[in-house]
Amino acid sequence: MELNARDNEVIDLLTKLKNANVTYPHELLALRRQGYIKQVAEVSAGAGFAMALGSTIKGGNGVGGAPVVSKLLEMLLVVAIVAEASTVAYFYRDRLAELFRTSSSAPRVEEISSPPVIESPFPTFESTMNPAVTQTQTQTKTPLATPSFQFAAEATDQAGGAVMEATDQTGGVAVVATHQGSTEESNQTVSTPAPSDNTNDHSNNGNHYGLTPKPERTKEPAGDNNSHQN
Amino acid sequence: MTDGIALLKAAQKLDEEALTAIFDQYAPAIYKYTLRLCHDPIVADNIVGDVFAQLLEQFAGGKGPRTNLRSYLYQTAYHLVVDRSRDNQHNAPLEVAVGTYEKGHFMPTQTQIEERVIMEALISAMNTELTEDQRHVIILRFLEDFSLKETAEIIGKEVNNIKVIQNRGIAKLRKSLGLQLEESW
Repeated sequence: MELNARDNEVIDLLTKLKNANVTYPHELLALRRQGYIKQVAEVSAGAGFAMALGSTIKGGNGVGGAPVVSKLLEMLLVVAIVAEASTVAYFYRDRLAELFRTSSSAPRVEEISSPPVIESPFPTFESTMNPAVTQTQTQTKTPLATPSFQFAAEATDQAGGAVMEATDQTGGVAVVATHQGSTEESNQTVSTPAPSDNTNDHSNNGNHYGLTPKPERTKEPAGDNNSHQN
Repeated sequence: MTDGIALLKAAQKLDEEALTAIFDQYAPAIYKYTLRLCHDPIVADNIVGDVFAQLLEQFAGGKGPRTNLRSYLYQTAYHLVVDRSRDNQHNAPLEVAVGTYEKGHFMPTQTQIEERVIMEALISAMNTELTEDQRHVIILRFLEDFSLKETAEIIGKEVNNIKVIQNRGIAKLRKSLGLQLEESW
């Protein structure tokens, strides 16, 4: 791809444009130069200090301020070491954290096992307190339950486990459960007396299903009643 | 050249006189180059400050240019301009160059008027038709008089690549100027 004659025309125009008189404004140039000279002085002063340090380290026979310089150098070294250590620690912080975790593994197990075991029993105790007790007291107002108010209370205590289970589902069911417990207890005291040893007493033969009506016996007309005689 | 190398060696040792001499020698040229690219005198001045501050940092750190100081300064300026143009998302027109080109012509002749029209067309084509790389290469090659090798160093591309970019840029300018001049006449 070579330049042709018309391209040279363009290049001539560009050369003319090059000669356009673009100048650095004097004010800007003076300010910029002043700032630059200031920077140069600062850098040169820093370089001079560094060179003095270098000559002190190399020669060892420095000027009167050598102890001061050595102290300064010591401080610089300490600062540099601390900075380097902290930088390394920062960059490898993940590895360091893993190292600490592996060295102390016991707390890890405690953290995992403890919380769920402690929390579970509390809510069930709280829930059984409210509706179960109040409802059983109202139920004992019925004529059957009044003499056995203590039994009813005991019944609720005995049936505590069942109540708690029921209240986990719904409060209303818990009320029914306690009520059933108390009434069954009262029925049992009334309907199931202790079985008597008297063989003639057929009214209580230990049958706990005693509520069933006695079968009616048909007496024979001859009056043969052997069972009663024995 | 030997003066330049001696100046550079003195500057590497952070000699204040040498560093000041470098600023006096190159600051106006860098300003001119930057102004052609970035259009704003204040921005151009700031870039000049940044260029020489970086040079000082490099020398203080024992680094910096070893041979071609001029190329190094232009390279730094080029990168700063490119960074700024990416941040600000505006191109670098050459309108300032037009303004200064007109200065001093109180009673323009017919030839001067024609020349001015052509120049305006050229600047317009450089701003609108060329890619960023083409504009940089043409400015460095024809307005700042850098060789192909130096331009390649400044922009950070191969010499052959610079040749291709330059020729394509000139072809675009020629085409655009031909069209614009035909339209104006």
